[in-house]
Amino acid sequence: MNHQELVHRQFVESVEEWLLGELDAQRDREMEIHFNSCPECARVAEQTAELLSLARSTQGITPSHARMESLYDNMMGHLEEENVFTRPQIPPRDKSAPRTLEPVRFLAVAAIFLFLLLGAGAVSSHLQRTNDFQIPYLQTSQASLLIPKEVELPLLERQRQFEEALSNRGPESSPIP
Amino acid sequence: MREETDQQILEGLALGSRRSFRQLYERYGGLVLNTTLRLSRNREDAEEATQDAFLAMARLGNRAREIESPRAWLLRVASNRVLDLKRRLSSRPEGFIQDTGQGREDDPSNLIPMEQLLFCDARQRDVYYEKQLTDRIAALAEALPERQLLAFSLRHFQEMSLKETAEVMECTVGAVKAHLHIATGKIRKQLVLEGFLAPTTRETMEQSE
Repeated sequence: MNHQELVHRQFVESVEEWLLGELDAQRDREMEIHFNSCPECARVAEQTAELLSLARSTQGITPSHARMESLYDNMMGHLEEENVFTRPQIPPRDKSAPRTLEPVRFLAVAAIFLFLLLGAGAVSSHLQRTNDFQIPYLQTSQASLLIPKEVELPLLERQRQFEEALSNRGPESSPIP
Repeated sequence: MREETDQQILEGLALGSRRSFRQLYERYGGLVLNTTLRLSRNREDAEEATQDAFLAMARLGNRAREIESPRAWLLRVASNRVLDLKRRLSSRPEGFIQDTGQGREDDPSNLIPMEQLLFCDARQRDVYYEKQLTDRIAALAEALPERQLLAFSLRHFQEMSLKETAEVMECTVGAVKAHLHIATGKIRKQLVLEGFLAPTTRETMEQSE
């Protein structure tokens, strides 16, 4: 199959959609231009149009009303026998509606919450009574170990100067150097 | 009776309403039976498939709410069923097949007395020719393979959109287009061979080869 044949084939493949107006405007225009210039494809399009028009005009066999009713009665007989229409159906929960707690569930949740609250209170008071829960405060000597060296040396220096000033001061002079 | 939407009918059906089932049948019963009759020329099979589809929907219960389009659903179930029955029918002994003979050369309804054709006017001849061609198209469509027949029937006999046809056939729109293209091509070629349509130059060359 050469290029020309392939082009014709592509147009013929879209004939049905073109005839039923289901192509976009650009493709529709392309098809029109091609059919105007190609009598072979135009003939295929014309014949397909006739074929589809006749197929669509054919009326199927319309069953009589009595036949349709008889079919319905037959179906209902089966369904009644199976209790399809009398079987209780559970309506599903409306997913769009917000969730609500039923009274029993609400009471159960509230009781659990209250129990936990009271339990926590009891434990806390017990710990306070037995002094097991005191924070061990640091002693001054331990605290001094935590002061970094860079801070500690000027402090010691200042303390030494202060003590020196105290020893040299008169009763009216300020203790601060 | 108040007209209900498809979704209201399905809701009623899910709750076990007889009235909803009646409405569903009144709305789609004719269409489904017509389609199944197109797919199988056997009336009994078509009726059985139609009934099976409606019964299956009634038995769905709560699951009926999950259906988006009852029309597509019913057509899908019914057409699958009728094609299944047709397959079984074709495996039955030959005498069992109910062939109407429509479209065949020896079918008496296809014959028209020569004097009648000679003395009738052009308009009458056109009407006769059109009827012959229409019957032949229907007969050729019925001889197509299952999927092509289903696509052609839904699309052109029932005038469904490509999307609806794809939904019923449970395939893509592209696949439906392919089935339709092949089906229409086959019918047109056969009509050309039988002299109903004039061949193109390419087809004449192919035939001579």
